[in-house]
Amino acid sequence: MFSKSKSGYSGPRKSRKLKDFGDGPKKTQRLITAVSIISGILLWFIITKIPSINTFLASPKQVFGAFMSETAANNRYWKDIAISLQRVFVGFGLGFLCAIPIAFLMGWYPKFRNLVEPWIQFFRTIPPIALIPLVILALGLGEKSKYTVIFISTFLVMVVTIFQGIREVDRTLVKAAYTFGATDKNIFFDIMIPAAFPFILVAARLGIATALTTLIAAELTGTTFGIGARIQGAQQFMNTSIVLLGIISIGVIGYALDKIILLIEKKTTRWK
Amino acid sequence: MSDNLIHIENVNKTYVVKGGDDVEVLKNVSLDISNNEFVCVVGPSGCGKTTLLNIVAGLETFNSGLVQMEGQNIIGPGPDRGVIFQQYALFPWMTVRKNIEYGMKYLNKYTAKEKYEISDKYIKMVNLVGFENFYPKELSGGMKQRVAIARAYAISPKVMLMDEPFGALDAQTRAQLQEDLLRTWEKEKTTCFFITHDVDEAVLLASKVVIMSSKPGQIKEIVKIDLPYPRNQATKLDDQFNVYKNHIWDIVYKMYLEVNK
Ligand SMILES: Nc1ncnc2c1ncn2[C@@H]1O[C@H](COP(=O)(O)OP(=O)(O)O)[C@@H](O)[C@H]1O
Ligand SMILES: [Mg+2]
Repeated sequence: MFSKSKSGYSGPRKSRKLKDFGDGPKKTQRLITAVSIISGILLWFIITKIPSINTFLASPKQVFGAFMSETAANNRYWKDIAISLQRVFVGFGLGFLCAIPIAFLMGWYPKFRNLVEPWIQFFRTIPPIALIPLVILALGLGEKSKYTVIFISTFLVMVVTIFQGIREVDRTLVKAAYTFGATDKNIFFDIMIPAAFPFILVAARLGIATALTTLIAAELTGTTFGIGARIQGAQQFMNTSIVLLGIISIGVIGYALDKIILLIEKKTTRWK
Repeated sequence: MSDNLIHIENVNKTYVVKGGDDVEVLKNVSLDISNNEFVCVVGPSGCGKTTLLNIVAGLETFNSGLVQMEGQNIIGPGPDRGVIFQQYALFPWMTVRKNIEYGMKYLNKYTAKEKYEISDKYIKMVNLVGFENFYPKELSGGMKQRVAIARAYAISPKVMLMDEPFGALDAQTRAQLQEDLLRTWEKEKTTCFFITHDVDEAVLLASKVVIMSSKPGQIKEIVKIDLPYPRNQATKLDDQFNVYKNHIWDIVYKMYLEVNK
């Protein structure tokens, strides 16, 4: 009855593993990440053994040495970090505080939107770095010019992103709220703000990334303190370990700030 | 006359389309809905059913005519009319319970404790006990529509306006929700204005079926359904049910032939 035949039953089907575009098991994920980081550092260690590369790329050991001496010598390192962070927070903070109401006003009043949108779209196409010389001419080399450049660049990215989010709020939700007797004010505070909240966080992430880019550009000219200034100064003395230390510090700061916002997102938008 | 809840008289509605011909959506539509009636509107897609419902909901304007509720002109949306949208319209950042409580928020009538108790009552009514703290994304389509129905009933509206509420659901879920809606209506007798394009559904639920024709949307015929309540899916086996169904199908099919001549 169950005679063997070429086309017949040949044991359980071995199912093909189909791509599901998931993240894979958590354990595997962690392991691969750890391997990746360790081998990256190892690779860095090895290639800096080559003298011609070591002339511009400091080794992990040299960078660690630079970190020790920079933190020891009258705390230069922490002072640079603090001043850079202050510039980021002031510029980004102002940008964030202005972007939210302006984006909401644009979403709420079409006339206001028509008034400001052409300007926002125009200035958005200009790389913020191109504004630095003008801002320095207007405000000098002090902190004000740094705050201003970061403010402008972060404001522009964030206002566009938040406004886009407001436009994407499902209009049926607004209608539903009206049927329960909501006033325009209720619609604004109870529907628009919570519905647009995820976009506000997306905007904040983009804003932080923009703030760091603009920060370093602004610090490369005519400033003594700040991470960018320190990198620029070290380059003139061919101090490759301090240059690299500065670059890595920016990376760590950017990564940490991004993770903080991601954490807020995870805590507040479980419903997404 | 005192029994009359909604009065629609000679309503005309034309959409002005930029760079195109204006669309005449509703032409001389007149309809009266009495208290405790279950009115179903059937008609081909695009005939203006949603537009008519939105006008009664106060979400849409019209060009001429009269739309009144209890003798007062309808000038905007309000909690005396509960609206159920085909796409559920649940607030995704609120749990099931918060969605239902939100509906009562602007009534300024209940304390937080009362809102909690009322939401409990309606969560029970739509069989969602145990799902109070779920977010909409964690629910199936049928469950979402149950939440929307509970949310609308919780404000005790004088009329429920339902725009193809079961249109996106699979056949079994749809049959279940039809029965649940019948039970609720038989108990609470809240007037229903229910849009569907499913003739079976209309005859099963309605005490009165309104047939609309399209381009422009007009009321073609009104059929009173004299099948006794309580009804259930077995009602569909009734001879009289099929008489009504075939009669309505005939009209709908003739309209189809006319349009596609
Ligand atoms: N905002 C609008 N602008 C222009 N035409 C519209 C608009 N909304 C609906 N219509 C048109 O009005 C007609 C009726 O639409 P609708 O009331 O949604 O019909 P139904 O719900 O019966 O399918 C359709 O032809 C549709 O294309
Ligand atoms: Mg419709």
